[in-house]
Amino acid sequence: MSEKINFSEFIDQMSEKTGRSKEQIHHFLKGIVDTTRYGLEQDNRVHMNGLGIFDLRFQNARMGRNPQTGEEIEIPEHYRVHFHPDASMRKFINRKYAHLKPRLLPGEKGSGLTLSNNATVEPVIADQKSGKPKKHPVWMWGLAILLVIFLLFFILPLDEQTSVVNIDLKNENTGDGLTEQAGPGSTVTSPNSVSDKTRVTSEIRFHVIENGDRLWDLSDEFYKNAFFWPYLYKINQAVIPNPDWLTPGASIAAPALAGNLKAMSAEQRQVLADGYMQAYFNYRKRGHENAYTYLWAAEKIGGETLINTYKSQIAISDLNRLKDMRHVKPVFAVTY
Amino acid sequence: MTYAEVIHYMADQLQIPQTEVRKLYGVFIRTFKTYLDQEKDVYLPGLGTFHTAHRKERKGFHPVKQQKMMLPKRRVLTLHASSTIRDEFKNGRGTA
Repeated sequence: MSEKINFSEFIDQMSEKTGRSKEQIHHFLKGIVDTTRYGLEQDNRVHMNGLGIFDLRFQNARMGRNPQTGEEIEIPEHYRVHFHPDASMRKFINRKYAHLKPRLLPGEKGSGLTLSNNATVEPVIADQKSGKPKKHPVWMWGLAILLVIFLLFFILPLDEQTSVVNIDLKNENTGDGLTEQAGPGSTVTSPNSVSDKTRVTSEIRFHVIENGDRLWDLSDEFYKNAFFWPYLYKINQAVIPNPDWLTPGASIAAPALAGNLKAMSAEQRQVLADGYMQAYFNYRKRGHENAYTYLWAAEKIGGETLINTYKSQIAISDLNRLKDMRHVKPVFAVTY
Repeated sequence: MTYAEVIHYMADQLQIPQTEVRKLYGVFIRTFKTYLDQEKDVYLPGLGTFHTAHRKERKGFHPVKQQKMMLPKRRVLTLHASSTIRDEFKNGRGTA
């Protein structure tokens, strides 16, 4: 066990480097700890640049032993605070070992190469049993290319159709069974109110969030227009606490939507405008630099009536800015 | 919570400009690193102890090259969370 430094020692050191009083440094370090707790509470996850990422991870219940008495006890399921150091931090603490590289074990194919230089090892896929690299004859390649072409022409179009889950919901008022097509350039014929699903017939896709998914990319994939991500955000607001960070494993719904604003129905525009408004509220709460932009976009799509609806919740500075900008003609026309 | 949000929140809480927070944060990271360099553990009350340990070299398997490899020794940084924060988030967020 290495030596542990005191908190006061840390404060002294920082105070010396910055020329600030110990009280101020103490206050600052407490701020760092409080911010970490606040971030975990808000998003499950905090990124401290240069240090690492703190997040909450779920632990299943398991059997353990009391180290003093030796009797078996059940440790209930719980969350634990996990820390993953940044790449820069890992590099820093491993400076001493920077020259070491992974090397092949003796007896493995290609182990005669230099021990420390991994770059010369060719990435050959060796047969596990014989230890020889596989050889593919020319006719096999030809067959593979034919197979790929076959797949592209016949399987993929079918796959696209099947990936859309058809959900027929009865229209209470008119009872019509119209279905809408998702995709660019398609026109939407019947009103599609997403907040009140029971009244319309629509096609909904479901997507399970994977690590690295972003609303921007998903919107681009579903609607061929990344600027419609607030639409997805508005509909799935219950499972998206932070639009910049999607929780892996959560399932989000993506109702059909035309690829441009003009082809949308009035209600879809309303939902999109509302999505921009919600994005504004979220970003304003988080102190996002571009929060105002989303308010601006919400007004462009939803009109002044939308702004008036939410007037009491919008920051006064943003409201004034919006008012001042109304009479200014944009230099470039914004197209979605 | 991203780094930008961290800085913004701290500036809000401490009532100092964001540029100052960034400067102090930089000094904090540098000080933190000097102690890690001296093989010392860093304790932050309310968060826990940052501890570094050495890992021996070990056998591994390269999934793409399909070869057994010897992975070199390295040093890791771990957090031993303090009991207060452990209890606070035992039941997930928003329950404390």
